[in-house]
Amino acid sequence: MTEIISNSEKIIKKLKKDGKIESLNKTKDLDAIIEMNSEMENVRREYQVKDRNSQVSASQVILTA
Amino acid sequence: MHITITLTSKANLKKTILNNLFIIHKLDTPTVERLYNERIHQHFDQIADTAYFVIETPYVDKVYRDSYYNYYSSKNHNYNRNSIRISIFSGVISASDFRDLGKRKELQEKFMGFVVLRPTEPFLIGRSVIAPEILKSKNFDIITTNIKTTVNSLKLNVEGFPHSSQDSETISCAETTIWSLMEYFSNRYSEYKSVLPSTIINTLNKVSSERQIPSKGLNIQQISYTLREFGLGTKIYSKVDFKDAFYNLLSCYIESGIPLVVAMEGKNIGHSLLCIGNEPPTNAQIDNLGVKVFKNVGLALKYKLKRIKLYDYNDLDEKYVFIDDNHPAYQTNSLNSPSDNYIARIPNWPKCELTYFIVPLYTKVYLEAYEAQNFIYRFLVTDPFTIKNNSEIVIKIFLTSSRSFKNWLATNNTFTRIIKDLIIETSMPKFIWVSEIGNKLLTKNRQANGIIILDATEANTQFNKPLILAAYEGKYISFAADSAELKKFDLTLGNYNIYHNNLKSFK
Repeated sequence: MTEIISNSEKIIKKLKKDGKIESLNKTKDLDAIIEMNSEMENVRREYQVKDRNSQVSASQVILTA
Repeated sequence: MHITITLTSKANLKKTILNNLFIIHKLDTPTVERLYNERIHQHFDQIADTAYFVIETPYVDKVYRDSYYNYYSSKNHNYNRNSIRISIFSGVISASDFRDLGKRKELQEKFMGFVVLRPTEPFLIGRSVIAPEILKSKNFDIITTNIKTTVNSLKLNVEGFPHSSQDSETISCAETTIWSLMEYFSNRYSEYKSVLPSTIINTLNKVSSERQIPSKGLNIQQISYTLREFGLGTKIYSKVDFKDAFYNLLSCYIESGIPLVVAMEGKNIGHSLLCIGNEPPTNAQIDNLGVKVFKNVGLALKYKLKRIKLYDYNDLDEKYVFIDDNHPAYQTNSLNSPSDNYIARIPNWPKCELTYFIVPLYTKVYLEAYEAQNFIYRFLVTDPFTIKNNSEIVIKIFLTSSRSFKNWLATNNTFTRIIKDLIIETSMPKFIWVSEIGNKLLTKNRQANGIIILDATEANTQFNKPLILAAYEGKYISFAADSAELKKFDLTLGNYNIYHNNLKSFK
């Protein structure tokens, strides 16, 4: 006997039927994503500087004690 | 040569160790006594008084033998190549137990680890693993591994974290830290190999313009390079550059169950040690946890306009657990005053601070903690997930393997069934970032009612790419299985018991 477990499919089907699924592809959704993209781009730049500086200064610290 | 095996209670331990040290080192009694008082006694003082000990002399220790053959044997002074091993048991045992098959299970249950004494006076404490269960004080959650050994010819296992003191010639604090870390990784994961002092020295010899022994210590970059050569994807974080986020990131990695190499600096002091866990926060510490202050003006404004108070669990001011080669295993100190245990012993020891840490990540964790947490901070106040105005939330961010996470979830009866099924049937990478969302009351009860899961292999943070799913306040958001489109489901996640698999508790 074969038993296939795919509860997700059943759950999603039911949620669809009940109108409880919404696609997040409207203009306001995309605007929010674009805004977050820009913020994360700044975070990336900020992180790269911190990461590089940490590496460079790490070569100057000798641990002996 | 015969092996002498002595069984003794804690009351007679000092006398037995002194006798054995005298045989191995051929030192006079006052010197042996002084060495014991200055270098050994504190390692056994922290062990419960009910403990019982098995002392084996001579003992062949693989780490010391490596140092002996590669260095000490080439000296004019005659160093003994043998060591002494002291195995620890939680209660009284007898010599006959080791030859009785019926007693094997009881011996295993009582076995609490071992400490090797090597003939490198005054730095006598060698390879050791002590199970935290046998300590007098053990209110902490730490990273551990299972280590196989033998006692009186019987194979036994111990769960703890590897520790050793430096011998100051073949291994300084830096090499000891590397050895201890690789001993942990190799015993925990099959991807890594344990290393001996000569392996560390040879690895560094390839890139060093000077000889490596006698050791003069290593710089942080050399430690990171060596760990990378041993198969780890290291990242370096400095306090000067990461500023306010430094301790938070350190806490985040500890909550992820990753041991960290930590650099401690003070006047004329540069010391390396391992951070392996923390003390569980008290209710008072959770109550005193301050609102997250964002330095980024745009982000701070978003939280202000929505009147949302965010508390970050990784900002908690609890004590941390360290493996320090100058002290017995499992020292606890706060991150702000890491040298307190030095100052208690040596009053003129300078006040030190933690200045760097190296995180030995799995090589394919491409999304590191700083970017992951910044993604989460922003995701919480950005549509379509944005949380309700006037909310007060506590978030706890950590990295874990999807295998461990799903294993925990599968048997967590407090997790909402429908969301549990959706998460378990979601394809995930080997490592994921998890942010549990709750409030202070739920945190005190070790519960949460929201969750965000990120793909730790996705370094591209554009278009919500790292997001696997998020559930909070009646919303469940994830990418549709058949397209790159985000979908929002009306599903409510109830209170659930939080994930606690990365660290092991020893109350």
